[in-house]
Amino acid sequence: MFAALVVLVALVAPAGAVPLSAPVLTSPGGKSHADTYLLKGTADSLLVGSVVRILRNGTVIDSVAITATTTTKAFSKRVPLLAGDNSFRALQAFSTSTSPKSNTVVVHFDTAAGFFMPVPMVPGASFDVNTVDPAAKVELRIFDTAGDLVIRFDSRESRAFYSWVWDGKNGSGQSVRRGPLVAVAAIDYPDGTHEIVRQVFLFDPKGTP
Amino acid sequence: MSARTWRLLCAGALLASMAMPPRAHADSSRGGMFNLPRYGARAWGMGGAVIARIDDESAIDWNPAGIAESARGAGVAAVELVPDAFLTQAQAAFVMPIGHSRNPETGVSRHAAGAMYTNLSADVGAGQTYSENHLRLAYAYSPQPVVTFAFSGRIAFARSGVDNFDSWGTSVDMAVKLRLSRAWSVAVVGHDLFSRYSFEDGHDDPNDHEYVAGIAHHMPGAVDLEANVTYLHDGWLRTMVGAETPYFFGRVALRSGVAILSTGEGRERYGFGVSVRALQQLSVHYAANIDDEDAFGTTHRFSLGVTW
Repeated sequence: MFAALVVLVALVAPAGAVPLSAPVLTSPGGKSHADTYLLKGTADSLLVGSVVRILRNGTVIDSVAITATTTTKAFSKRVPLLAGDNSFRALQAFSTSTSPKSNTVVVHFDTAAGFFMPVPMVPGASFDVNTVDPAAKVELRIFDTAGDLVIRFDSRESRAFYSWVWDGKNGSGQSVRRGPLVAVAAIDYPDGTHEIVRQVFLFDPKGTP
Repeated sequence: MSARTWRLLCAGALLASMAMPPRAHADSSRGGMFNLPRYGARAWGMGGAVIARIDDESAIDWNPAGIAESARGAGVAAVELVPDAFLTQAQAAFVMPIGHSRNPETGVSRHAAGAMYTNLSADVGAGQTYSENHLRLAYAYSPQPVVTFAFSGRIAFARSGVDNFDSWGTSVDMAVKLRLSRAWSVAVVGHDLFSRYSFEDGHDDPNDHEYVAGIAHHMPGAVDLEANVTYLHDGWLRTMVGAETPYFFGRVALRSGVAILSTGEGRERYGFGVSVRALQQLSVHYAANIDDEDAFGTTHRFSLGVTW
């Protein structure tokens, strides 16, 4: 009886169809001051040849391929953001089969000018500098409260949104201790104007983004 | 040692520190709690080059051996450490000789003690604040007027609305000062020795040890000079050179100095200061410290000292 049922299902199902369940997006979403976002999730299966498609506001914008060398169901992809709300969903596809869509992660991209970081700052989180107009160069220096340099970042790309992910190490590769630090962003605009933004923040090396 | 020799020494120290190659290893701070600039506009007006000659309430923070030369006095100091970033530091200090053991010729007390309170307040974003409160107690002992041994102990507390930042800690400074002659003195200070602080979640951290050595030249009626060198962060050196005039007409003194930070990038911080004395017992000090504009920029320090 059971064998007959299996044969019946196989005959009814379209050729090549593989049942797939929806991926799960695990990123928390929320507000972002950077123009990209690290979207994380878990695929339903490691079916070789399948892809996880990432949708932003209903449109596919990127994908993650599952290959023979893929060893984990977890995936991550840095995706571009539009100003305002970005609703991310994912689905897994193989041949003509498509899984249902995943849960929704909403990320609001705030384009207001300023200097942003989480409170407290943690390893793996980013310093985001949004300039008023596209800048020619931005330098970000992190100091301790006595004025000694901890680490320095810079970018000479002309853009309006700068983001540096910090691993919590100083310029010598040592882990930075928990405590208050001072971030100083120096922004050079193409017209020669120079802007300085200083912000005190707390750093917790044991925290997670 | 002649004034010419002294000038050559200072110039040599300055050139040597400038020529020092950037270190490829461990030349960056590891941050942490309870790591604050030291007290007062007088010392910062000399770029922080003061440990061998500081002789007022500032000495509690810079070199506790210096309190042996202080009259009974008290002071307050305030500074916005980082312009436009809502990071402020306020301090109050009290120092006194113990008993009647002051040497009438040298002014050095056999026993002296001091206390200093420090508050740091910061706006750390998202409507949250962070504050530190430090209490430092210092004692100095001079078995002979030419030498003073001293130590100070500090207990500090931090409070914040941000989770895991409530903490407390202790540290010890040790110092020795030698008065080689009427004109020359040298000192060595170890800051944050035996330090440790603990957080509310049980995590512990130490402060970095900091060792400072200094040499000062003092001649009544002439400009006082001092050079200091600091060892910290596993080896990089900071060199400070400063000068201070006597009080002109008994009322106004000027000072200046520079601190050369030999980090991977390297930078200099210049200090300029002025003091106004009134009634022989009240002094108002101001210092401007000019840092790289892409670092802390220019800060303004004020302090007030009174002796009796």
